[in-house]
Amino acid sequence: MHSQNAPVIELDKVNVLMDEYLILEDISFTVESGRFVGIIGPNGAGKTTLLKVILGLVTPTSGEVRLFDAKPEATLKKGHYIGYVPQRIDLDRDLPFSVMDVILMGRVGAIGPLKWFSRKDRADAEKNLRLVELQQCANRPIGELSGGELQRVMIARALSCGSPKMLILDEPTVGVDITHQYAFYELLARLRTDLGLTVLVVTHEVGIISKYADQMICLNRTMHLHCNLAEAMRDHGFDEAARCAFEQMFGIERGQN
Amino acid sequence: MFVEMLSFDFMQRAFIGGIIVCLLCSFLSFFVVLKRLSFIGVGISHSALGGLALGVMTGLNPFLSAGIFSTLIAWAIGITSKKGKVHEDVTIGIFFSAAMAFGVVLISLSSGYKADLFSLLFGNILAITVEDLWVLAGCGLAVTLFLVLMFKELLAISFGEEIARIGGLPVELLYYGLLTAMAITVVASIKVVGVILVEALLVIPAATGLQLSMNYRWMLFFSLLTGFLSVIFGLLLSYACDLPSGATIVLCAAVLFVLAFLFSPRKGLLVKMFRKG
Repeated sequence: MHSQNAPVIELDKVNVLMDEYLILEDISFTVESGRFVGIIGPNGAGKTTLLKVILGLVTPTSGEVRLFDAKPEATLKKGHYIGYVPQRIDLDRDLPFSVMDVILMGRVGAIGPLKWFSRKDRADAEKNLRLVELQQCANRPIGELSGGELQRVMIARALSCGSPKMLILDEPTVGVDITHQYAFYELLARLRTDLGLTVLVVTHEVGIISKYADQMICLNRTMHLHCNLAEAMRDHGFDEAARCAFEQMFGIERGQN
Repeated sequence: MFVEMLSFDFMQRAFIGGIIVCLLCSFLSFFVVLKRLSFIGVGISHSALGGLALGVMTGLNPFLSAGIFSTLIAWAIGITSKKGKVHEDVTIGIFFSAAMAFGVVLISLSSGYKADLFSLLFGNILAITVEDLWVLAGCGLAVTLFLVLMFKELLAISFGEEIARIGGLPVELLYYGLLTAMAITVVASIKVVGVILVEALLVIPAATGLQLSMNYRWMLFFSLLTGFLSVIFGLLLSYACDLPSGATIVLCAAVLFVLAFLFSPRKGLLVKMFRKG
């Protein structure tokens, strides 16, 4: 489906120590351009830290990270390839911003200093709003949106980062009911195909992500299992692949108790 | 009465100085409220007292030393709360009370400055000199330039620091720039409202604006309007009723906030009750 299979994320023997705790141990994997990647694992498994390592917000204690064939920090500074959708919990919905304001703010880094938003920036923001099917909401205050709508606005914001090549989403469907979860993943799958994006999703919802992802990374504290779900099913059968998934589910329940 | 007031040179200077300070504080308060920096504002403004006292003791210009001291305290609060394992509100609580205590001790050691303590704490707008006005204008210009030129970047970090950082913005630099702008503004405002009351002007205008609009452009407009009306009414009232001017300006701002809180068309408490009833 995607012509270039160039690696866009490469981790080689990455270790992360924080306050003398090993958060990530010996993580190595490669993600090729155009993949739909699911990162699953129980609470405290290091999923968010792994995202931060990929994004250059956390420097690994040892090991090497490449993002679009450069150091993540360098890619972030000049590339504007990465659209990031944070956990819903991080958003302050009391802020006096409209949907359009929020999407335009995703572009600030790409525009550069000392310039205000141009007509082209606005046109691009409107286009991205149409892609998530919220064009009628451009002028609504973000505080009035439903959880699902806000999440789609954040995707439109992420797509406005300049020239998006990768979408990274941190637990995007927490607290969203199952019907809307499916609609949300359908949207991601469609954007991935239409725009040729690489998509990376950190999630607890093992069942649903396994239907969409063609590459899964299972994290559990210091261990990791990196598998292509389709291959895992072929090689080990569905039961074995499902067992891997259910183990993660157990981990989740233990973590929450 | 207004004409009579303005026939005095010192009243003219008070009006000019007051308007500059209130507009400057109102503009900055926009980001203080959006970015939830109001308690850091308390920390920075109170610690200015330590810097003033240090200036008096060492023979430096007290306002210059207060500016440097407050900026350093502001950065220290920023660094300890971002890098350390201590919560921001705790570090602010420690820093500002310690810096203030330091100021009080220094002032008690120097004999001549005690009489002025009250005016440092609560302002003395009628004592503004032409030279003060120039310093005020300079500080105001610097801070306004920073806020205007970095407006969209500052908006973006108000929405979320992490996503702004991933979008390629120098979040730390902008954050410390904002803290520095606060320190400069606080020191520039000391003569008008004093170190204790300046916090009110760093919060109330934008808080009023946020009550009146959910669109940041209007919020900023109402914020500046609140600041402007507060200084005009405050000075008139203080002249007419012989009240301390800094405190009267702050009270006017507070009254405007309460009015907006009760009667704002969208969010007003009374308006909501009427709609329900």
